[in-house]
Parts: sequence; C-alpha cells; structure tokens
Amino acid sequence: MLSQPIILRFLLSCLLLAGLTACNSLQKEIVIPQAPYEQQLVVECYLEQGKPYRLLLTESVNYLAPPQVPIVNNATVKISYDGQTDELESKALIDSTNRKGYNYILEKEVTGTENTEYTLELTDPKGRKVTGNTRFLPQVPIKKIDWGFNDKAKAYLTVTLDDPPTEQDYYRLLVTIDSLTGEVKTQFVFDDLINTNHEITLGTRYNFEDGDTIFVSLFHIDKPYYDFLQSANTAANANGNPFGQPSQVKSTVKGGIGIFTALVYDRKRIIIKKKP
Amino acid sequence: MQKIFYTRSLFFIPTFLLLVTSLYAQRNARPDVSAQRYTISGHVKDASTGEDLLGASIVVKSTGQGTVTNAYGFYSLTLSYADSVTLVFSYLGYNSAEKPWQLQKNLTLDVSLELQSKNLQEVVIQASTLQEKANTTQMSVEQLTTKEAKLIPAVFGEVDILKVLQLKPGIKSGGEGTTGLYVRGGGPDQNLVVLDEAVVYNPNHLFGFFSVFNSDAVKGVELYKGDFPAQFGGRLSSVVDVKLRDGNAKKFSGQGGIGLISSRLTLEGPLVKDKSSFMIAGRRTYFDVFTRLYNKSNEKKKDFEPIPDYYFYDLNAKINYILSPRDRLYVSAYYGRDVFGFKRDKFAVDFSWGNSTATVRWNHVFRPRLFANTSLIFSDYQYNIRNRVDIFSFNLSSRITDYGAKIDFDYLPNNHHSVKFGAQYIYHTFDIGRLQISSDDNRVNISQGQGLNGTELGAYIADDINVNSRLRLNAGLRLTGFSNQGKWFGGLEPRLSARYKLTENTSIKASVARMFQYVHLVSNSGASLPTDIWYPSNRAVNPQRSDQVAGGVSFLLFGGKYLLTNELYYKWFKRQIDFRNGANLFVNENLDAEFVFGRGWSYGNEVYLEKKQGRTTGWIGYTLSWTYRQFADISNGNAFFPRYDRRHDISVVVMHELSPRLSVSATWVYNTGNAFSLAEGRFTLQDVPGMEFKVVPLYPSQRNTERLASYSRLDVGLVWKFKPKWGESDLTFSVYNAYNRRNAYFVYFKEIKDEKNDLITGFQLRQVSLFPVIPTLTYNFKF
Repeated sequence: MLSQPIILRFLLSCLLLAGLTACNSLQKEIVIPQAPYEQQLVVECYLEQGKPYRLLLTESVNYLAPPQVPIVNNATVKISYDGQTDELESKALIDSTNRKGYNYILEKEVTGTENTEYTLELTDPKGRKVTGNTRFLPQVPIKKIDWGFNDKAKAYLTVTLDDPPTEQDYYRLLVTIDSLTGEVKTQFVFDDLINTNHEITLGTRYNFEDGDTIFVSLFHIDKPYYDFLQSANTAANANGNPFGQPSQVKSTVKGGIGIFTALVYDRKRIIIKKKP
Repeated sequence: MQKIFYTRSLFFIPTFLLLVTSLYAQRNARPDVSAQRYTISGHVKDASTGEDLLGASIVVKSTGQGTVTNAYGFYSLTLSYADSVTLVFSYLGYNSAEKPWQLQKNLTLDVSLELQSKNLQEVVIQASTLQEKANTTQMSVEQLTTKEAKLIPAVFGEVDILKVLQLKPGIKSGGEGTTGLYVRGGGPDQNLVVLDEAVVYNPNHLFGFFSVFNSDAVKGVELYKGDFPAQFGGRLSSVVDVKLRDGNAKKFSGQGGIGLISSRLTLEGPLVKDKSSFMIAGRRTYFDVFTRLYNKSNEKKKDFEPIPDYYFYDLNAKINYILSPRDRLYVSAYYGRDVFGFKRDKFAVDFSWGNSTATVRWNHVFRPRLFANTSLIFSDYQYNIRNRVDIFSFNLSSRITDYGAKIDFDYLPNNHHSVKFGAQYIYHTFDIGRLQISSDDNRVNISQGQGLNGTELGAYIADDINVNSRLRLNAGLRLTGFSNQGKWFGGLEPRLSARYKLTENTSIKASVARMFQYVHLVSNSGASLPTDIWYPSNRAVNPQRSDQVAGGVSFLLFGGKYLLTNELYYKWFKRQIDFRNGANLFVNENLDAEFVFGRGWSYGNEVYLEKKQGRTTGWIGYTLSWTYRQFADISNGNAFFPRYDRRHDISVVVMHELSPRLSVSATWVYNTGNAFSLAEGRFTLQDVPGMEFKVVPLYPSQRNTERLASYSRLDVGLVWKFKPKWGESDLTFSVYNAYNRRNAYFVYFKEIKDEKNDLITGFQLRQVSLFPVIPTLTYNFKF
C-alpha cells in the first residue's frame, strides 16, 4: 500500500505541473471552410433639412477579407420627392469636419418638409438595384438639460423631453464633448415605453467637468431606423459573446444592406458650470 | 370560458387498455377463490441511519413474486395464506435480509438493511438492481445516488449530480462545464426539476457551471427522459426528481468538505430517537474572499480595474417525524442565492438571484394496500439587479412564485396491479420585468412591470399491470388544465408502456407519452441565464406540447452482472417558442409581440452498457441523434439545428475499488461540436457625425449552419479513505480535462490592429476554450 506522504507528494507535483500547463493560451486561430460570399451593396444616406445630398455606396465583404472598404462608383442614384427626381453625381467627397466620406453627392439642399416622402432608387454598374423610402418626422424638442456635480468635481447630465402621446415614438440621444464630432460620451437608442406621464428624462454618468462644452442631439427617429440601429448593435455584440443570439441586420432598404433615412433632431450646446 | 381538449380519442386508449388488462389479469390471478389473501406492508430502512430506502426490492423467495419500495420507502405485497413465506429484502450496496413469516393475517413489517460488508470478495452477485431495471415496464429513466456521484471526478472537485447525469445517453450538456440538461432534443427549460416535490425553476449557480444541489444533502436523483410516469407533468422533455436525505434518526452526525472553491457542512441527528430526525446542510463559495484580497493589494495601481465580488451559497434543511405507525410528516426547505457585487466610487451594482422552496408532506397508510402522500408546496425564483450611479437608482427584477397542493395515492389491490392516482393544484404568480428608475431628487421616476398569475391543475391515474409472467403494462392518463387571464387550456396526456420478456434475460419495451407545458422560459441567449423570465400561457401564447414514442430492448449479460439496453425514440414538439430578431425581452409590457412559434422534432438511438456491482463498476453510453426546429420567421422557414444538436455522444465511466481505502475512477466523453451561426460577411457603418466607424457582422439567414470542433475530455479521480478515531475522512483528488484538450467554447472574429496607430489591419477567426487541465484536491469528512 502506498504511504500517505508519497501520495501527497504525487498530488502536489500534479498540481504544480497542471498550473504550468494551464498558463498556455486558451485562444487560438482556426480555419472554418465557408462557401464563397456573395457581396451585397451597402447604402448609407441621411437626409437633413437644409443640407446637401450625401450618400455612401460600398459593398459588404467576406469577414476575413482585407479591411479596406470596397467603394462602388458609377451607379445611378436618384432620390425622388413631391414628383421631383434629383440624381446624385458619382464623386468622392471627404467631409473632414465630420470625418465622413461619400461617393455620391448633389449640392442641392434637402427641403425636408414634414411628412414628405423621399424615395431612393439606385442601380450599380452590375445592374444591382437598391430602393428605399423615408419621410421627415416632426421634431421633438429637448425640454430641459440639467447637471450636477459630485465631490470629485465630475458632472452628470439629465436630458428631459416631452414624448408626444399619440403614437409610439423612437429616439436617439447623442452627447458629444467639445464639438459635434467630438468624443461621444453618451449614446442612447430608446423608445417611449420609459415615459412617465409623457415625459422622459435620461441621465448620463459622471463624464463631464466644469467648463466643458457639450453638444446634446436628440433625434426623433422612425421604427425602421430604430430597428436598424438595434439589430446592427445586436449583430455586433453577438460576435465574441457565447450567450448572444446572432441576428440579421434589419436594413431600411430593399435589394441591399443599409440605411436611408431622414434625420430630424433638436440640438443644444451648453457649457457646464458649477452652480453657485 | 373556453376549454380546449386535445385529441380526445387518445383518452380512450389507455382507459380501455386499463380496463381490459385489468379484467384479464384478475381472471388469471384467480388461482383459488377460497384462498385467503393477506398483505405484508411496511418500510425498508438503512439500519445505521434509519433513512428510508427508495426502490428496495422485496421478493418472495419461492415464487419470485415481488415489489419495490416507493419514494417514501413504503412497500405492500399481497400473498395467499401460507404457513411460511420467506421474503428477501435487498438494496444495492446493502446486505440482503431474508425473513420467514407465517402468513395468516395482515402484517406490518419494517425492515432495516445493513450496509454491505467492505470485503468485496464476499459480495454475491444476485438478482440485482439491473435485474429490476430489465424487468420493470419503466424505460427511459436514469437513476443515480449521491454515493455513486461522489466517486466520479468533478470539475473543481464540486460533486454535481446534474453533471453526472450528463454522462448518461440521451442527456447532453449545453457546453463546457455547464449543468444545463438537454434531453432527447429538448431545451433546459423543458425539464421539470423537483426537489422533494417542489419545482426548482433555475437549478444553476454561476450561470450554469454548478447546480443548486449540494451532494451531501441529496439522497439521489431519477431522471425520466421519456415514458413519463403519470404523476409528473408540466414540462416537455424530462423530469429530474431529486430527493433530499432524511437525516440520521439513530445518532448525531455530520459531514462536510473543504474544496478549491467552496466548503460545505451537513449536520444531522435524531430529534426523538428512531422517531424523528433533522438534517441541515450549507455550502458557500469563497471566490470573493480571494478577489477582495487581490483588489485590496492592487487598489493603488494606476488604471487597476477591481474584480467584482461573486459568491453563492445554499442551505437545505429537512425534518421528519414518525407520528404513528401509519403517519409520517416531512418538512423540507431549500434557500440559495448567487450574489454578484461591484462598487467603485459612487457606482454600485448588486445582482442576486436564487430559488427558495419549501415542502410539507404527510404520509398516511390508510390500509396496508393504500398509501397516501399529501404535500403543500412553495417554490420561488427571483432575480434582482440594483444599480446605483450617484443619485440615480436602477432596479430590475423578475420573479415566479408557486403555491401548490398535491395528493398522491398508491393502491396495491393485488400483486398484478399497482395503481397510482392523485391530483395537483398550483397557483403561479409572475412578476415580469419590474423596472424602477429613480433619482434622489425625484426628477427621474420611471416604473414598469407586469404582474400575472395562472392556475395549473392536474389529475392522474396509472396502473402497472402484471398481465402474465412475460407481459407487463403500465397504462396511465393525466388530465391537465391551465387558466390565465380568463383563458382556459386543457390537455389529456396518455402515458403507456409495455414490457415483454422474451427470455429470462431479454425483454423488449415500448412506450408513448404526451406532455404539455404551460409556463415558458423567455430566453434569447441560447443559454440559461439568471435573467431569463418565466412566462405563462395566455391568449397569444398556447401551451407547448410533446409526443414521444420509444422502443427498446434489454439484455442481462454474464449472469446479471451487466445490463445492455438499446432504445430508439422519436419525439415531436408542437408550439415551440422563439423570438423575433432583435426582440426586447427585458423591459417590455407586450412580450407577446416578441414571440414566434414553430415546431420541432428529434430522433435517435441510445445504447447503454452498465455494470453496477463488483470492484469495477461503471457504464458506457452512446447516442446517435438528430434534433430540428422550424419556425416560419426564422431561417426563412427552413428547419434548422438548435445549438445543442449533436450527432454523436459517447461517454465512458469506470470506477474501480483498488482496496477498501483506495478507489480510482475515470470518465471520457466525446461528442460532435455544437451547432452555431458564423458571420459570413461584414460591412462598415460610418454612422452620423460624431459616431465612430463600426464593423457590423452579417449572419446568414439560415441559423446554426456551422459546427464547433468535436469535444472530448478525460477526467480522472482518486479517493483515498481514512479512518480517524472520530469518524471517516477522505482525500479526493481529481483531474478535469487530463489531457488538457482545448475544447471549443465559442468562436469569434477578432480585429487585428496596428499597435502604433490603432488601425485595423486584418481579421482573424479565433476559437476560445474555457477549462484547461484542472487538478483539484478536496478533503471530506464524516463523524
């Protein structure tokens, strides 16, 4: 029969050995053969009242393809509204202020009257067609912005709005610092189920300091845009999450992937100051 | 009020069979009308602790006639007048007892069996548990005692009966290290898990890595994966019936263990010797002790992110009292919580979840042939998330609470019939997605949530009929109903099984069973999470239904030392529930709108070879199976494999006693990898001004088209027993994943970035594994 000290020595040696072995990485690169991926057109177009037409047309790619975004030029891009049709020119434009790029532009201002329907029709050189439509919603104003400081001189914001009682509404709230294209400190995409007596107040974390210039943008969005944002977020979060259920992106366009929507927002600029 | 009854015609099949076979059996059971018949009844117990032995066999030595004890250790055997009849009482692991009796009146006979001698050379292989398994009409059942479970190596040394059950054919785990049970194509929410008759809604700790069952407190478990006994209902795929120990009625004693991640202690003893006993067991993990020390020692480091506190604990308690020779009272309770906490500056999160159950049971022997058990049952599961950011408070909670009553009768009119009948009532209350957001200054005050309730009813009758020496039938019928929001659902659930003995050692069996499920788990994660919500059937959500047929053959080999079984099954799932893409399940007062409904089916073959006695015991199981789901709104309406569909599943479990003090064990598992969805493409979303570019994966319309790499693992264990003066102790050494295989837990696409400018330079598909080789040493003691 084995004696107790021998057994214990054996066990301790195993523990030590296992400890060293377990230090190896628990991740590794793998290869899973996949069927060839059929690329799809990807459209991004946001219409804003008083702003020129801008559209980015690219293609989706196999996930493991190089990171460059394949631009699709020389497509026919038409946007119609109130019986008029405007055709966008295939021309690259880098908006350095907003740090965005486009490859279809028209230097004509979007009139953007409420409830006017805008229709997108796009045909690329390969004959692929993408269509979409959208309309401008009424603006929902920011009712109140307030803030408070903690004992570490950091401030939070609260943003209040009055939710129209008539139908279900969807919103996107962006809070950036220093400029409209500054660092996004807060983003909420939400519906009006969280209202109290038709008023919604949202609070941020302690992200701000005395003297910060803050831009608060409240977008009143439609359900297709809300679904697109939520589904894109769910799809992105499912990558790397063993508990996530992968879902398909719900595009607002047909024949491809992407978003064609009218942006309506209320925006306020404030400077955070300690209250006396 | 509207009542829906499903397939009325099926009602008549078992009823008719019950009647016909009953008459037939009675005709054949009439050897001599003038003969007097007497009943021997009583309890079979463990001689050292006084605990009831469940499933102990009682056989008339001369004729082979016999019966087994029920869930409370009670038996009843009716025999003809005899000057002398010798009864053999036996139970696996105990010395058999033979007693001659004069049978000239009804007898009450309580028998205590001694634990088997340690000298294994003396063990005689006899008509055993395997023989009973081969003889019974019951098929598709797995039984496990804690004693067996403790011999099998466990991850982190935490003995877990649910994980051991995953080594049986037809029962699969959800993933590495998890306790979720996927039985014959069913999901983990389709298992009825009961602890001393109370439903345990979430049988998991730590997101499924440990079950809520403390091995020291549990007597044993039975898992029915088909051929469901008529007394059970309410879930589609399995019944996991866990029984707590009663406590030592002879002397005060205790047991416990000190392990790598938790410690446990159980105390038990007589309240009134041989009449009443108690058992109280507790267990707690101590991750939090180490993480707090680690956090404390690193708190001054720049950019140090503290590790959140996490621990779980559970408590089991049981008291039983023999009120009279005919009456016994049992009171048992469970309370367990997982607690996750994080606090930093003025940001704090507390997340707790857990079950509470309580059962009061009264056994009464009306007559030697009529036994009754009446139960009052309470079950509760809840989670609470409390988040505080300075002046803002965010509370989210959900809860299901059941108040139930149940009565079950065992009636044994003669040795050809064993009738069970009874009724059940459950009042469910659901508190769903209760959200409160508020600020100290009252500028923010949002409150939402849904309170619902439902009433679930059940009544059943079943007869185990010994038609002749070859044919035995079990015909049962369960009638169930559910009411919510003024809507009534009803269902008839026929249960029928038959065994035909081809030879003394070979039997064929077949069964059909229907089950309804009236409460559903709202889970969008594909895995069981504590935040999943239980939701009742209502006008928009019909009950789920399953129908299962199974057929099998059992062979007793090598003089009854081995049992070889093969079972084929086919199962249909109706009105399965899933969720539309992007469903909001957390704060939503209109959850009905998020559901999509479909169907499923599964089929397979299970081969099982088992050896229960001798120095070397264990089993080999192999399952070949297919599982499908089909929803109009998922995968373009095409059928798809759920995550847990696996073509091949093999498990080998071997336990060997080297000497009375030293035993070794090993388990090896192999299975096909889980099905999963892999993004096939991606696009870049530049978004509105202010937002950063984002890579969005594009998943194929068909769900779960890819497979993780196949899974295999070897665990080995060694138990070394000591005999100190004060009692018994052992050192249990186990190595989980002994060949350190990197089994796939999940795969994902990783962005490869340039360290200098943080720009993406490429993408990689990576596989993540969870557990490497994990050796564990646990010290267990008993006094």
